Parts: sequence; C-alpha cells; structure tokens
Amino acid sequence: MRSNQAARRQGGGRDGGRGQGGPGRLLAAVIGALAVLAPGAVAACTSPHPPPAPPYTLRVLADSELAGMGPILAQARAATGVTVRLTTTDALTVADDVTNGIAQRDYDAVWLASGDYLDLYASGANTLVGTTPIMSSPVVLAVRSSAARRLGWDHGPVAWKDIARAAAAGAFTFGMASPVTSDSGLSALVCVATAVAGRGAALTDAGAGQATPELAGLFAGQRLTATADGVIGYEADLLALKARAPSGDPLTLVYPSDGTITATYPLSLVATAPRAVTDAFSRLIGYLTSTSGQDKIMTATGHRPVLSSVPLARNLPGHLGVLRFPGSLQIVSDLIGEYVGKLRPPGRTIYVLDTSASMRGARLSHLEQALLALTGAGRTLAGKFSQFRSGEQVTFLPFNYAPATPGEFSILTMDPGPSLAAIHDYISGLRAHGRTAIYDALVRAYQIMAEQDRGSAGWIDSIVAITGSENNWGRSLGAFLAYYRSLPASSPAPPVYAIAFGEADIPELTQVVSATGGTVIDAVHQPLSALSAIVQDVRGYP
Amino acid sequence: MVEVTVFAVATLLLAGGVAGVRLREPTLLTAVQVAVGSEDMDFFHDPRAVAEFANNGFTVTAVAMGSRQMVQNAKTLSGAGYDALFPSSEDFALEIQQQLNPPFGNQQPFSTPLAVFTWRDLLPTLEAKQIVDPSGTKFNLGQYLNDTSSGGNRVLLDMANPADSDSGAMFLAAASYVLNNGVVQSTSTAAALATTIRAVVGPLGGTENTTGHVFRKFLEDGESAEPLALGYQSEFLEYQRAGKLPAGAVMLQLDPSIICVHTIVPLRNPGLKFATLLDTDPYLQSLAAQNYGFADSAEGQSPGHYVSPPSPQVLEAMIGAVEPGS
Repeated sequence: MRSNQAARRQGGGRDGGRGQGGPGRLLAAVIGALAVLAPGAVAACTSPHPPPAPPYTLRVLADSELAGMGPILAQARAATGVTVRLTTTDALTVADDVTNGIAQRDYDAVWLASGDYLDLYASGANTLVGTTPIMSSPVVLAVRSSAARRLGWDHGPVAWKDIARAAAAGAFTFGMASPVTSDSGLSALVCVATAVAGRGAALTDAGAGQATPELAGLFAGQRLTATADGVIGYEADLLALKARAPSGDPLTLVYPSDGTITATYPLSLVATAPRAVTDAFSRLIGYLTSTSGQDKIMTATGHRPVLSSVPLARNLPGHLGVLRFPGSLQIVSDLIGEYVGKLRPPGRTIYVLDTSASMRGARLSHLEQALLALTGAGRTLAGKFSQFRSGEQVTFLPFNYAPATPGEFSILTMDPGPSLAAIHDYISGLRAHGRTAIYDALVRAYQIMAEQDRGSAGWIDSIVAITGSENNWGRSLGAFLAYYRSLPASSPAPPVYAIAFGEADIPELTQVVSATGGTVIDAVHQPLSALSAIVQDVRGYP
Repeated sequence: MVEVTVFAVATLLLAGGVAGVRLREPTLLTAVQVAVGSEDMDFFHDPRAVAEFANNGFTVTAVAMGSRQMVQNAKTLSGAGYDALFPSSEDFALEIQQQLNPPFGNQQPFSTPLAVFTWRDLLPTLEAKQIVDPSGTKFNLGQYLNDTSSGGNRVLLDMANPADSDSGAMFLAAASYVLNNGVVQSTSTAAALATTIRAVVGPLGGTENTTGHVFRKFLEDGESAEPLALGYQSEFLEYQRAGKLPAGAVMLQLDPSIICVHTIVPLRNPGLKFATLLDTDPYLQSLAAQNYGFADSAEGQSPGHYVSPPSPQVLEAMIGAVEPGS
C-alpha cells in the first residue's frame, strides 16, 4: 500500500557535474523537473493582510506538476484566509491513493494536472466532487533554436508525424517525463499515438496497433542525457525553461499542427468533506478562477486561463488543434505497456545494495520484498507498471566492506520467467554483515557500466543506490566526486538515484545526486513498509 | 462557463450594491450547502440571485458535480452536511429519494430540453449527411446513430460522461428511445442496445464528468475541436442573451429530445426552505427564465419532439452497459 509519505524528494540538478554547461544543463534540469517529484509539503507563505474569513488549512494531494503554484497559493491565502497545504507526488500515486481511499481519508482535496488520468485509473474518482478546471496547458515541444533551424521547424507547420520521422532518422533527440508516472509524459505519448493514427477520434485498439511503427521511430530519439535537441512537455514548463535558456543557445517552442492534448488542472473536493472544508474549498476556487486570479496564474506560471474573458498573453498562441484522450483504460494501459516493454530504449540499471550489518533484520527483509515486488508481485498500478521488463538488463551490486561480485541478469524478451526466477533466488540469498563502503560501491558501479557499454548502445542507464547507513569504510565522498569528475566527458555517465533510509547521510547523498543528475528519495522518516512503493517510484523515472 | 464561488460576506456587500437592496445582518443568514450541476453554477453565483437569496435569509455554497455523482455519493453527501441535492433530471432525484428517504419530497424549479450545439459553417456538411434537416434547425438523432455506429460519420457529438452526468445519461435515454422505437421498458433491452450506443460514445474518449464543462469546451475550443456538443438549451440561451456566444455558434433541436426537469431534493429543513424559495420566488423564477433560459415547468417548453426517459432502474442498467470496460 502506498501512502502520502511515499515519495518526499529533494531534486538535484547537475550543478556539481562535469562541466556540461549551457542549455544541456537546462534540458537535464527540466527533464528532471518534469519527471521528478517536488518536495512534499508546500505551505503558502504568510500574508501581510488580515484574512477576511475564518482561516482554514486545506490539505491538498497534488500532482507534482503543481509544485510551482506556491506563490499563487500564498496570494490566495492573503485574499481568502485559506492556507493550502500541498502534498505533491506523481500522478500514478495520486491515482492509486484515490482508488484505495487514502486520498479521501487523509486529504480534503485532490489536484491533478489532467482529469483524464484520474478518470481512467482511479475507480474512486466519482467520489471527488466540485471538480473545477483551474488553468490549462497544452503538450508541446521545446527545441534548441539551432536544431529547429536545421530541421526546418522554425517556420511552417510541424506535425507529430514529422517529429517521429526526424527522430527515427536520428536527426532529432528529445527528453520527456515518464508516461508511467506522470500526466505530461502520458499525454505526450497519447498525443503522438493519436496524431499518428490520424482519425480525429480518440485512439481505438486498431489505431493503437497502427501507430506502433511510428512510435518506435519516435522513441528511438528519446534520451535521458543533457545533450538532447528538445523536450516534450507542458507549455507552461517549457516556457519557464525557455526563459532560462542562455542567449547563445535559445529555445523555440513548436506547436504540432495536428493537435495536442491540453491539461486543465482540475481541483476536486472529497465527497466526505464537512461544511467548513467545503466553504474553504469554495473560497479557494473562487479566488483562483476570478479574473484577477486567472491573470496572476498566467503571468506567474505561464498556464493559460480557463476564463474566456481573460485575454491570452502574447506568447501563448491560440487556436490549437485538439486530440482526444482515449476513454478506455485498456487502450491506455496497452499503450504504456508497449512503451515500457518495446518503445523506449531498454533500461539498464545497477542496484547498489547496502548489505552491511546495519541492514540486519527487518531492513534487509524489507529491501528484499521491495526488490521482489519488481519481479511481478505488485498489486497496485504503480507496482504493475514498475515490474522488470523484457529486454531490460538488471545488475545487483551488494556491498559491505567492499562491493561483492555483481549479479547480472538479462530479462529475456521471449521468455522472461526464468530470469525473473533467478533474480528471485539471488535476492533471497542476500546476507547482512560488516561495514558500509558506499562510495567504493558507486565507483564499482560506474566501472561495471563502462564494461557493459562495450559494443552496446541505446540503453537508458541508471544507478539506484539503496542504503540504510552513512559511509563508514573505504573512499570518502570527496574521493568519489573526484572520481566522477575524472570520467571521460565523451560518454555520458548515468545518474545516481539514492534511496536513503535508516541512518543514511542525506546531505552527503544529496551531493552525490547533484553531481550526477539524479535524485535523493528521503525514506528516513517513513515506515520501512513504504520502501516497496519508493523503489517502484524510482523505476518510473526513465 | 466558469465557476466563481464567492465568499459569503464579500458577496453580500457586492450583491447588495448591485441589487440596491438593504440586507439583513449577515449573522442572521442561514448557510445552506447544495450540490448542483456545473451548468447551474452561473445562476447560483449571479449577484442578483445571491442578493435575492440573502433577502430571504440564505447564504448559499453551491458545489458542482455530475447528477449521477450525486446519486452515487448520496449517503456520503448527506452525512457531510449538504442541505439539498439538485440533480438535473427527475430520474436521479427519485434515485436519491429512494436511497435516503428524506421527508421533504422534491421540487422542480427549472426545466430545459437537451439540445445540440454546432457551428454555422458545418451545417451544409451535416445537412448533406441528413444528420441535420434542410431547414438547419433539427438534429436527426436516428441518422446520427446510424451513420456514426457504422463508421460513416466522424463528426462526433461531444457530451459529458453518461456515467457521471445527467445530460450524458439523458442522451442514452433519447438514443435508446430511437433504437427501440419507444421507451425502453426492460433491462435486457437496455443491454441489447448498448453495443450500438457504445460505438457512438466510445470514440469520444475520456469525457467531462459534468455538462457545463462540455459547453465551456465548445465555446473555447471552437469549430475544429468541438464541431458538435450536447448540452441544455438553457446553457446556450444564457450565453446568447448575455451576448457572449462566439460568432457562428448555432443551436439545434435534438430530435427527439428529453426535457430535463431539474429537481431539488431537500435533505434538511433549511434545504426545504431554500428549495421552496427557488421554486416559488417570482424574482428568482424570472431571473432563471429571462437570463438563464429555463422554463419553470416541463409544459413551458418551446415546441419540439420530446420523449420520456426510461425508469431509473432501466437507465442505470443502460449506463452500466455502455460504460467502458463493461
């Protein structure tokens, strides 16, 4: 079971990285921002004006895509007396929480980027009432202006088909958030599939099958590295990225001529909300959908107004074509399955596993359960979508005083069963003793990645370090960072995603992920049972 | 169509100014909380309505939701303190009454027929397909069902989700009437017709869960994205009378159509008093008729071909059979 605490995160850019400057960093940062969850609770700030109504704190479970609403919510508080306590997580976790009733039990309201996602996934969605679209943003493309000129996309119409064709030909690379866990990623995937099927209607089974070759071509251009030509995501996020791009390498926004899917950011109240909550919710909605609220949202965040009386800002083009989101969960599930299993480049992940003495007992058994869930034991949607996939390469690197011999597994495309069974046996055989040499293990992980790299390309690489102790043996943090910086800049080194629990040193791990472009997941203050959900979340990243 | 919920005291001051009336002390007002269809939110937030509510001792918090959501959450909403539920058709009101048995009956302050919204430029195409009659005023539902379910028509009628909303559910009622040559009387007939109806509703993809959102999309996304949309005649009239319709927007009679009798079910005493006010207050009734395009009863409608919806049980069976995944 997932809980609202399942994923509190601290993001890391590439600040301490190996000197990849310019928009590369920005692209990496936005991919991170699109895919990665923002810090948990964003309470609106204090207001200089006395609230005109009884103050109330509204607990809102929100998609991480709404993490940037803090300043607007602070203004809403000043105007209405309603403080919004926003807890952000990925869309898939919100959907799971609505389905199993956690959202209704622990929160007053739910705020997603796209209602489509919730309607499809969450069987409990009809217990959310008062649903009101707050703002909108279409899925579009941000491209380095130099690449836009090279591809001829700086003038004239560009269709999703053109984008897919350029990617298939190796002429265009891009990053996007995971369709598994994020609204923007899923909307982008559906956009392309629907546009390519080209019938003006929502995708049907036949259309989905028809789109496969072109989708495969498109995702051949998907990258996690900082050197991509562009990013697919919500316009509001891409405008923010564009504003930060250096003048020497600006970005161009491309609006696909065959249409797009637009998120409308619906805010809903749980049906059980008592009257004081309903009153606060109504006041908040009233503020956000007022003319001045809409104007402030557009100016501050680049989201489009839902009030037709508020004129669009000059940088927001009107009359976008519309693509429809499928009405059947099966079609969307199949599309995601297709993406994870076939379309995206296969994942190659090294799990760096703390098996020092600090892991004895419940910690090791929870770690084992979390990993075993990835072999197919998951019951939630998140579990279902985060299983090991055909074609994937999985390496386990247990460590204590030193890294052990790695356990390497390839999930066979035709028959994944035996490899999953072998993983099961391997994990069940882990034993805990000794001290914690985490940086020696991370260095070893990069070496293994480099060895595996010989003669292969087109993988999405990542290193997931799971540790319950501070480093107390072997290399120091400084020595690791020096090693990382010495890696050849010619071959991009994968990011480290660190899952920290027990006595792990979060400040140190934060430096590791900042340098490598990954993320720390702070599981220290959560029950051990949350570990499974956290490990699944990390799987949604690429 | 935007929902602007206003904070009570601020609203009273504003509304008092607008209507030029003397208000009672705010502390004497009874706060009532009502679930309403999203398409009625504009009325509930109209400063003139708010002032009239206040003159009669009420301050109202309206929460938008689909009519069928009210049915499915009836017990929860009652427990959460709602004073009344105001679904957009009598069928759903009866279902709520069956579940909760409140001792107050129901009242029917407004009614309006289902209608189809489209664009003047598209009329020649639709007339050529005989989906619209040569006079450009009637939407031939039988022709539309036939052409669309067979794949011959790809100009789709957008609508709110039948599983959540009144207008979507009433579309099933009208469509099943056409396919069955009469009101469907049994759940087995309802199930047998579901395949055809699903072929018409399915290609719409994920749909809005409340009627007002569909109309908003129609207004904002325009001709290419929303060529045809299903809603209430009252929505169109409201915008037409306020001069807020985009150029080229036209309304067609749905043939046959269903008159949706918005029916309020009081759950508590203040809800009963408020429902009575809505139903009987001459000012509110005239505001609803003049500015929001409602008739005060089913008999007061413009002429047209109207049929009856099936019983609540048959309607529920039909919704279940049409839902994706069923």
